[in-house]
Amino acid sequence: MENFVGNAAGILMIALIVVLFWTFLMELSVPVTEKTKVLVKRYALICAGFIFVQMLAAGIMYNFYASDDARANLFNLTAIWKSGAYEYGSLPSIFYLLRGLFALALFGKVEACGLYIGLLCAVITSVTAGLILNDMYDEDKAGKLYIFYMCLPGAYVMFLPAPYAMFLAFFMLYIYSAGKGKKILAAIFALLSVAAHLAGIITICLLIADLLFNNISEKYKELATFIACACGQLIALLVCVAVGGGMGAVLWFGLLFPGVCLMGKSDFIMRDEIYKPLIAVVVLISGFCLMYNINL
Amino acid sequence: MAEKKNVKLFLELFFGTILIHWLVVILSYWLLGEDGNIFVDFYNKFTETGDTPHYMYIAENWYASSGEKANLIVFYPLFPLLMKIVGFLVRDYFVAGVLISNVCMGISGYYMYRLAKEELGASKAMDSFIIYVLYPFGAFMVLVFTEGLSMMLVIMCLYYIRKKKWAVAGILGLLASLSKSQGIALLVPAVYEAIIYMKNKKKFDIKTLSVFLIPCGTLMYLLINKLVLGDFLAFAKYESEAPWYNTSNWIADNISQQFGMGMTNYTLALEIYWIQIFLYFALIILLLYGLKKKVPASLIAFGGAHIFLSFLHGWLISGPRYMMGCVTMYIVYAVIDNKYVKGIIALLFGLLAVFYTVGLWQGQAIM
Repeated sequence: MENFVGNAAGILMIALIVVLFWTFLMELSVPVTEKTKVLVKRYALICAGFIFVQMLAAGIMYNFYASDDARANLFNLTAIWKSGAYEYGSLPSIFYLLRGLFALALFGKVEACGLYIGLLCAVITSVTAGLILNDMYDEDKAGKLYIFYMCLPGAYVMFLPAPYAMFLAFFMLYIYSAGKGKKILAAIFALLSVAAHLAGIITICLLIADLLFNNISEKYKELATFIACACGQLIALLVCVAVGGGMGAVLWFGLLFPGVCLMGKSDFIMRDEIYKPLIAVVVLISGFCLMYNINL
Repeated sequence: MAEKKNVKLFLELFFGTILIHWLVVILSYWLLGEDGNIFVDFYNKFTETGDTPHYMYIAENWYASSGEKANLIVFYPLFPLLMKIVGFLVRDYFVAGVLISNVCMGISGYYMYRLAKEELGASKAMDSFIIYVLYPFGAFMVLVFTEGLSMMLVIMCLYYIRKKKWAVAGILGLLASLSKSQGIALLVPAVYEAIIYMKNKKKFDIKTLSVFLIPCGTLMYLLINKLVLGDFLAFAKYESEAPWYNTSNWIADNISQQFGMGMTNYTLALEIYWIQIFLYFALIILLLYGLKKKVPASLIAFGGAHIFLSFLHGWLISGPRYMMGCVTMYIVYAVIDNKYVKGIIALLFGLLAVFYTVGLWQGQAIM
């Protein structure tokens, strides 16, 4: 219990610092519309809720089966989650660099820093996903697609303290900047996504494709993006497994996002009679997936 | 006419702050059923309480470069220095300390009102003032502790930061960081406001550099460490030893430790551990609420920095006393919409103020 309380205290302090930093940026008149500010706040809070539910579910499942000595609080991710779910082998990544630098300021608490960076990446991923969906669709549809994305099996990789979480954040930021026509910013995020994880190769491919096929119709661009992501994911997975880079099986999550975006175009799928049962199926699969990745 | 009104207001708030705190001290003494002379008992009791004998020693002898008193280097110098000066007049360091504490406390109450009025208007300013004087550990501002002086300097500094009087804020911040370790937290709102100020003016203003006087107080303290004990960080070594056992650790570890210790000792849990853990969470949530209610972000940032620095202390036993310095709390209290919630908080503060002051008289572990 004391570790849970302590970890909660640490997370709250980091959250306060992040919120204050965001407020500072807004006061400096960083160009963000009022609508975007509202959406950022909304999605950040919703993301916190989703993350908490995932962590709570994992914590309960773990502690249900754990012996008395092995019980762990829900922030003890290394105890609860299988190492393959959060440590992606020995491939270099800026995640480890940032974690180390952060730990220098936080009394050498590497594990805690990994947790904070993971949570921050999850908020960035989730909020950016929400903003992209709101750009594409009306609020109601965007909300439904956002919930669908957050319920997908493997969503926990957004916050697990691993390079992949950081990749997801930069990947989303790349898609958002590219969609806004900010090519230089998109290029920076693409490079950062590669620096975070090998799967970032997909982002680089997308960037190159975007530059080369600038005139391609919007109708085909999204489909092409989805296909490119799926193929790229397969290649990245094979490479990761070949070089011993960790559990490639969970690498698929982030790259389903273009598919979720495409889903919104289908009025059939978005009908309540289809969408709601689909969510039910998805969350059940998520439950199995989550349980599979816990140290039971 | 306006000047007369200001003087009248100053006197009302100055004496009001002092009277309310002394009322609590006297009421608590009466509750104990003591029938002696309160002032004699006050003198006899509180010359030996907590950090008071240490401040009195430093005022009389300054820091020791060796021996068992060398560890008093952990106490910041401004308060005992003022005790020394006033001690020349009153010939008693304890009385000097009480005088300084109470005068500073009175001024802090006045500036608390002014700061709150600047941000929220006169009506809400009175709410801030009331909750400030009711803070449960306010009795420390009556005694020979650095709290009265530190509170005055911190509140005044925040006030002048918000008024964009950079030089005055810098000097007050320097003095604040020379009186208490958390004083350096004032650098956060000062830099924040300075940057926003220059962004609005669209030019660099050299006067804003005065905010960098704030950390100079801490640097002066480190220099004193070097001059007296030959090491800039001598205080850290002594803090980590008996009787304080205080090393800096990440907040999560310190809170975990305090929670664990609270589970093993119920009395200390109520007096120290769980109270400071509760305060930590309540204040962080209050700060986030304050942001939502558009309390100036620089004040919220100060609150966060103050809490951050305070809870880095390992083996923290004075958390509630340190949290008195989270000035933002009094401002955010005033913006709470629901008057019933405010009333309940005020009642709780008042009841606890008496409870903890009684505990102080009894020599409980209220530190």
